Amino acid sequence: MAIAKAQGKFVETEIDDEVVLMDLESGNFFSLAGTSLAVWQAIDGERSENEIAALLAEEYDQPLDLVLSDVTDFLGELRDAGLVDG
Amino acid sequence: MSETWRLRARTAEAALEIVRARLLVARVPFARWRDQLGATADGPSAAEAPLSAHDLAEARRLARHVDRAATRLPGESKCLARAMALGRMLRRRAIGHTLVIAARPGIARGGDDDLHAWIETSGLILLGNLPGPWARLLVLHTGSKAR
Repeated sequence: MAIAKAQGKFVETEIDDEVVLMDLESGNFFSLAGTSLAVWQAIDGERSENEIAALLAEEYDQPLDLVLSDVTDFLGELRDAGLVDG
Repeated sequence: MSETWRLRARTAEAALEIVRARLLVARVPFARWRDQLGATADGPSAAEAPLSAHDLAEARRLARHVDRAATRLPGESKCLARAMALGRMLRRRAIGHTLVIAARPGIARGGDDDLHAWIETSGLILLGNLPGPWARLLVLHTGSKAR
């Protein structure tokens, strides 16, 4: 299943090597940097969880199963926060 | 009404608006009052038009009343509550303004003011002028009414 950012539910701004998100429903802020930022940037509405993990595993030269675990955890947090669909 | 009472009434108005804003921020989900803050950059706005000298002077006076009221209220009146209060007072007087919510870059973060809100108009920060840098997250405009 493709993962998509929940358009209209947040605003984001890039600051140096970080993206700060503001949830427009709750008013909560999220700071994304490092691997979490890489996952966020890989979400394009077309890639699945596995495809995102594969992309990052190749980019960072890390074992796929390890990256997939991290991606799954982080996408779970984003879903809980209502920032992604799928 | 004498000038003294007029000034006191404005400070009282500011205090009431701050209390209202503090309650909203503390107890009501952001989504329920977000639209009261203004329209996003995509929306209709006349706030970009410079204010008249009269309106700018009035806006500055109102900002001082908000600061004065905030220092007299018990508890802490944070930047967002102050900005919301001033925004309502300006809107009531049809004075265009912009409410900005911003974050500090990560390298400068770690204090109490990593997130900040302020009110600006005509290129001037009326209330909440803290040294930057700031990355603007949410910019909400309220236009002046035609006179």
